[in-house]
Amino acid sequence: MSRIALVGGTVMTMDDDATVHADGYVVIDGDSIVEVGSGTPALRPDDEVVDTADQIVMPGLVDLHYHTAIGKGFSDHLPLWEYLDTAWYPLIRNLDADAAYWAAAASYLESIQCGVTTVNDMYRRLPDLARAAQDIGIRAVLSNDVALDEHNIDTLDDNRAAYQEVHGLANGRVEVYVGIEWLPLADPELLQDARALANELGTGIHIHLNESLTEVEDSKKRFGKRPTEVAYEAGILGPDCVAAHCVWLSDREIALMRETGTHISHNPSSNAKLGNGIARVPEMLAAGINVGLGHDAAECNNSRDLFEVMKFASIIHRANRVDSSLMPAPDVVRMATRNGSAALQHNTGQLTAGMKADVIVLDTQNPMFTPLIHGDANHIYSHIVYSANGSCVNSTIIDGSFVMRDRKLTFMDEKEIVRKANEGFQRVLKAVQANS
Amino acid sequence: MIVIENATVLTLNDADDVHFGGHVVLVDNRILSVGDGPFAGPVPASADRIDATGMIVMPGLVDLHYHTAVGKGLYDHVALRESLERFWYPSIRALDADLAYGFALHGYADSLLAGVTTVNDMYRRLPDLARAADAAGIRAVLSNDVALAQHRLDQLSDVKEAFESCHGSGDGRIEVFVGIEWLPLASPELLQEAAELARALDTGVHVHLNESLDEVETVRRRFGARPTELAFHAGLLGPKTVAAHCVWLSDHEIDLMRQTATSISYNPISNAKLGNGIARVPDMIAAGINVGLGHDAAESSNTHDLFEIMKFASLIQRADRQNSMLIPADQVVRMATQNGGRALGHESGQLSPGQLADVIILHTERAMFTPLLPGDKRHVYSHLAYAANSSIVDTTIVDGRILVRGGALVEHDYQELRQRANEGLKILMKRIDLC
Repeated sequence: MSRIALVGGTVMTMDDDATVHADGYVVIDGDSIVEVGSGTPALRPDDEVVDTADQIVMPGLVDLHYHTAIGKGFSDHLPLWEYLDTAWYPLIRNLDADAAYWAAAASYLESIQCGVTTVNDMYRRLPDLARAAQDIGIRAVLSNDVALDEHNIDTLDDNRAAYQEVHGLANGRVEVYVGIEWLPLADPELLQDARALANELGTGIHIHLNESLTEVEDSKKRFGKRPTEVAYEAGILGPDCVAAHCVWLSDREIALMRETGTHISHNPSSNAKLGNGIARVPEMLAAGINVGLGHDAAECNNSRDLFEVMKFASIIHRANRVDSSLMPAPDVVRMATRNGSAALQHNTGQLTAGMKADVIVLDTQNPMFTPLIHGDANHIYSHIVYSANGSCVNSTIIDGSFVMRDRKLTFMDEKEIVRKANEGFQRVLKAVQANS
Repeated sequence: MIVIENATVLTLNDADDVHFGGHVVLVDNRILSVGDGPFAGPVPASADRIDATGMIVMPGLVDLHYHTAVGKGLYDHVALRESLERFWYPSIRALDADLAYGFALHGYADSLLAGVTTVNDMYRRLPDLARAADAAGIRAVLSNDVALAQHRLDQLSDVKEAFESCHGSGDGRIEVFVGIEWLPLASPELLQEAAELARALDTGVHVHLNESLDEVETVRRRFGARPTELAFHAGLLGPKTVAAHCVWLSDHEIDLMRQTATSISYNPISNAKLGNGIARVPDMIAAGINVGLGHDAAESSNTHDLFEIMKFASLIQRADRQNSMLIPADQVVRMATQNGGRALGHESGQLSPGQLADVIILHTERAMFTPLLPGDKRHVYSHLAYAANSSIVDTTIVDGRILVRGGALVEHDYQELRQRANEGLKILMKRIDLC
């Protein structure tokens, strides 16, 4: 396979020095980045040269808390727990293989269109999701919705079987983590067993933790402790664990996160829409916790656009605390790239030689990026966080392959995905109604 | 005549009618017919027929608090007053006719591309803005940045001149309101004179009111009253007044707004980004106040995308009050259309016969609108408010004139406007010595 050389664009490397090349290049060989720099690279005769003049080249975005979603746009006004019971659980209990495959394909489609190259996807029917990820070309960490048996969702056995079947698929783009739905559907023994399984498989953990006040109250009532304390004592937390939401953390819970090196996915738009509240992100960052960003699920967001999530992540804290100095743009871009990647222990999230080639190309000759002071890094960070939405993404490269080029999907057909996803949703909705 | 057929027609009329597979017919600058199925009346051969299969037709969006803007992304992390003093005031003092025209034209084009058909634009050099609005084809209510003379912005005499030269131009699409910058740069006397001028000209008022805690404290210290109380006593409030922001309203201020039937522009992204806070919108709505939506300025919210603002308008209230029932989707879509039209006294913001032909057409065969249940209007509202952004806008029609089609400007080359805006910023920054 010939190398790909992206030449002439503004390269936002997101490396340790936050290097920006106003007229830069990125050279990709196979699944990896081999060269990044200013000016013109040393080209080989069979290199595929892609002109990225007037475009921005940056690391692909990492959606650190993600659920494939089959529906959205109903039950928009329910609080979390009621919404789970009336919409989410009935839908995921009635999935069939085809519905799961096309729901995942439609979810990954929107993500790829919005410049997301990695998803940390907790859902059911992992082999079907893995096929969709493989076919469309996205990097996916998959985990099951594990809960106590009585809730009729997934079990640790399902998670083990999924690991054995699909972990490492597609040149390693597909991984399987151990997933825990949330504490109200779990107990300390299940959490301990989840940790034991993760250790046995040598893989990570993805868990919802401290998402709503109702969860905190339930945890205190049932276990006499706050959610993070329960997870800590069960051994769930650690540098291989992504804890999603963490809205109502106490100071002690923040200390436990820091002490264990646990990563947090901040999902501000989901937390807002469900009325869960506003996470204490400034305190998490001050404590040195690694915080990435997630959209959560289309059912409760209802968009998979991480550009939109970046803007929310910055400005909601400013509104809440009446302080315009919080969450500056470059920090937020790092959360959506490097921090997410670090949380999943991936070699992505920055453009440096040796990293996996997960790269996106953004158009700038549009209202979102106007006016633009050419090559001014702060101006570009600002436009990425505050002005842009996912429609600025021109091309998405994952593991060295263009999975979308000039806004056209490479390996699957967009219209077919939309059609099949709609059919699957209507079929599952009928099954829900028949079984309720 | 423009005949739009096979569409999901979201009328936003009082009965909240939605016609699946419906039609909208426009003649000159008015809506002739809205309904189910194809249009039954005679259609001349010269009519422009638009097949809107798989698309939504709805009223154009009204951006109720708007400033033409020269730059964005330069002072993202400073508080309101500092951003005004360091960039906004220097930039608007350094404008000339060419710059004002170029910035306004780019902003209006951006808004049209995002499905906005009406802007309530407070800025300077209104004759240049009026030329830009005329060239863009957008419906524009213009007002001056009026402040006390010592601040070297606009004065009421500028408003009078602008009214005489621009009000009613562009076939009536362009109006002039009396604008007031904000109370820290005003006095009770200035507010009274502004109210008198608005009455004399029989026009509306556009005022920044109660935007930041800093403003509330300044006004209380200087005048011994809260901002809305001061505006009320000066006679500035009323059904033709649009008060922008209104973040820190007391119960008494909400009561004064309601009593005077003043409309409020809620600008949640600007309020958040500038660290001004979260307006008490559920309480305003409970009081029966007419609340529309605004982006404010590209400098403070960095976007002209009212779809984005609709989502934030709903979600930030839920986050703040931990209540997922607040500001449902259909309500926030109405804020961005009907409420904005009503605030400006326009016959717009809904698709009904006789209303102004301000109409947008949106794509739905996209991931943003997937899944979409056929014939379910709640699903349509939800996707508009929570899932979409302005990239779904295919067609924008203002006053019966098609200004955007296929997602591109019909009468202008966007790249030329963009280059002009970029050049303009360079010139302006040199002029105000920021470079």
